[in-house]
Amino acid sequence: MKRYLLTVLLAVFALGGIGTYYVHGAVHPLPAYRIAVTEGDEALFDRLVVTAFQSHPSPPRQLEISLAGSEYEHERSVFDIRRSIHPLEAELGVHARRFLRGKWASPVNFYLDGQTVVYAETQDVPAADGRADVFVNVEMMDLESGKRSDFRVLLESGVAGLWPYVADVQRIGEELHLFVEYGGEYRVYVLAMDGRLVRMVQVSLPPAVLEGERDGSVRMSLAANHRPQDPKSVVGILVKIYGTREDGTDPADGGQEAPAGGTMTGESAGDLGDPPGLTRMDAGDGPRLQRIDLYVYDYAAEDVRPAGRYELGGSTEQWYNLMTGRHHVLYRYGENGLEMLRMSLADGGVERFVYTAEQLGGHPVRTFTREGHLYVLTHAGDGSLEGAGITVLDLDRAAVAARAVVAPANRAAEDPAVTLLLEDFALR
Amino acid sequence: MKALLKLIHFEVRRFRWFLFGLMAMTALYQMAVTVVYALGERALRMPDPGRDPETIPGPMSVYHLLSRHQETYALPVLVCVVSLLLYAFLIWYRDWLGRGAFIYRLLMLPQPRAYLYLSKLAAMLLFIFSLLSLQLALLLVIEGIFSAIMPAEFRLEARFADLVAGNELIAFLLPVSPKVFLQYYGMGIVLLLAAFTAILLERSRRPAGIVLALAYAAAMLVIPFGVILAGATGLYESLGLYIHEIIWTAVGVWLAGGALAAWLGIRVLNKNVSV
Repeated sequence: MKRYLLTVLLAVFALGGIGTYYVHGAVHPLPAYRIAVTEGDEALFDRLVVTAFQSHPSPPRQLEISLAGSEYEHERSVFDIRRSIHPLEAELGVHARRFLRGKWASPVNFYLDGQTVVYAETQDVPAADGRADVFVNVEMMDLESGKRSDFRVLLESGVAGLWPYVADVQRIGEELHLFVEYGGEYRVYVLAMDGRLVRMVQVSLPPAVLEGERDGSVRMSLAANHRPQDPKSVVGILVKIYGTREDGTDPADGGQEAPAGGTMTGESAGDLGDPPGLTRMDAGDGPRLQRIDLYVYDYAAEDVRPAGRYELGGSTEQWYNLMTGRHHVLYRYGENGLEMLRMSLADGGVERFVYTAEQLGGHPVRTFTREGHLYVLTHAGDGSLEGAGITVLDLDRAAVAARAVVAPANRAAEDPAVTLLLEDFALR
Repeated sequence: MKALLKLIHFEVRRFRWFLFGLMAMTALYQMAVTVVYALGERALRMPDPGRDPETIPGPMSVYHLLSRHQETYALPVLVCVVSLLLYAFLIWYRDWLGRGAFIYRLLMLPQPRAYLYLSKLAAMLLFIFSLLSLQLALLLVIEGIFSAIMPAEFRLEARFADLVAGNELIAFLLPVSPKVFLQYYGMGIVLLLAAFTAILLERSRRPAGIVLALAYAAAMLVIPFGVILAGATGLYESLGLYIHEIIWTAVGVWLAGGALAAWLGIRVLNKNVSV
C-alpha cells in the first residue's frame, strides 16, 4: 500500500475536500422558510408557492417557499423533477393522464360537469393563397367509463389575419356551445354532438355611448371566470370606456382615508397610495377609465343583456376582474391596501370594500384569483418577515377566508441581518 | 483490484508533476491577487485627513472581493480546466506517440484491457476532484489573507457558501447542492467516456478510424444538443409528453449514451486495438 501512497493521498484529499464541503453545507444550511397558516383552511395554501429573494449579507438567492418549506433555485437538479400534468388533473380522476396528454390549453378550453369532460381547440389549416380554413377539434370523455369520442368541424373558411380562439365551452342538452373570440368580435358556434355545425350566433353589443364625455375610446374584453371549466349560464363581457370629462379636466380617484374595517362603505375611494411597479400607470399619460359596463351573454336565450355598471371616474390604475357564480368583482391594489368593487349579477348593485394594509397583514405586492378567492401577497417592504404573508379573501362573502405568514424554518433564517424579499406567488 | 489500483497509480505518477504545477500556479496566483486587492481595499478605507469622509467606502466581505474580480480569480481555474480537457486526449495518445510506443507494453499486460480504460477514467476524475478540493482549501486561505489584511471595522463576515458563490466559475464547478454536483459531474463523465471511445475508435482503424471517430462524436452530440433541439422544434409537444416525462427522457438518453460509450470503448479496446 505504501507504494501507492501518492494515489491514496490524492484520493483522500479530493474526496475529503469535496465531502467536507457538502457536510459543512448540510450542517450550516442557508436560511429556510415555510408558509405557516394562522387562520382558516390550510387546503387553500396546498399548492401555493411564493417566489422570493434571500440576501444580505450573502448574495441574492432565489427560492420558492411553500407549506413544505423552501427550496433554493440553484439547488434544484434533475432529481427534483415534479410530476406535473395539468391544473384539471384532480378533477378528471383516473383518466386524467390519458385525456389531458397533449392538451396544453388553459381551462377555458374545457367543460366539466361531473359526468362528461369536453375539450375544444381551434386549428387553422393554411391554404395556398395565404388564407386559412379554421377548424375546431372537439374531444369528449365519459368520466366514469373513460370512453372517448372526437370530431372536427369547419368553423370558417378563407380566413385571413386573425384566427378565432375558444374562450368558453358549454354543453347544453345535446348541443355544444363554443364561445369564440374572433378579431375583436364574439361568436357562439353551436355544434350537435355528432359533429355538425348547427348554427352560429353573432354576439352583438349595443353601441357604447360616451355619456357626457369626449375624446373617449372603448375597449372590450371578456370577464375572467373563477372556474372556466364549470357549467354556467352566462359569459361576462366588459366594455371599458376611457375619456376625459366634458370640461377637459381629468377626474382622479378620491383622496379620503380608507375606512378601518374591511366592510361596505359609501365613502369615496380611499387613498391607497402608489401601486407597486407592476401595476403603475403614468397618471399624466395613461388612459383614464371612466366606467366599465358589464354585459352578459346568456347561453339559453342566445342574447346579450346589460348586467351593471362601474363608475370609475377617470381611474388610471390597473383594475383586475373576476366573475364568480353570483358576483363580478373588480379590484385594484396599492401600497396601502386593496379596493374591491363587487357587482351582484342578480340586480347589478355595486358594493365597495376597502382592506387596509393593516387588515391584510402587510403591504400588498401581488395578487391572483382562483376559484372564488382573491389571494393577496403582502410584505413589510424592508426585507424583514414582519408583514410577509398571504391573505385569502372569499369574494362572494367579501370576508377573509384564510391567512398565512412566511415564517423562518431554521436558525439561519432568524438572523436579523438576513433579508427576504417576496417577489411573486402562484398555485402550482 | 490490485492490478487496477496499480494502473491508476501509474497514471497518477505520470501526471503528478504537471498536476502539482497546476496546483501551485493556482494557489500562488490566487493568494497573490488577494494580497494585492485586499491591500488596495484597505488603503481606500484608511483615514486620510485630505479626503472627504463621504467618499470612504463601507465595510466589505471577502465575497465582495471575489465577486468584484471575477475574471482574475477565474483565470487560473480556466487554465486548469483547459489543461485537463487537453489531457483527456493526451492520456491515450501519449501511449502511442511517446518514446517506444508504450501502448504495446500496456496492451500485453495480463490484466483485462478494460482496466486500462477504467484506470485512465479514474485518474482523470482524481485530477479533476483534487483540483476542486484545492480550490475549496484556497477559498479558506483567501478568507484568512483577507481577514489578516483588512481591519475588523472594515470587514463583514461571510459564510463559506458565499465565498464559493463569489466567483461565477467556481460556483458553477462547485454547486451548493450535492444533487446538482452529481448531475453536472455525471454529465461530465458521460462526455469523458464519449471522448475516450472516440479516441479508441480512431486508434482501432487508422487512418479510416478518424472518419469513424468523427462519426461517433457527431452521433454522441445528439445527447446534449438533440435533447435541446427536440424541445426547440416542438417535438415533445407534438408527442404530447408531460414535463417530467421530457426530463426523464433526457436523463435516460444521457445514461444510455454513457453506458453505450463505456461498452463500445471497452469492446474496441478488447477486440479492435491490436499490437
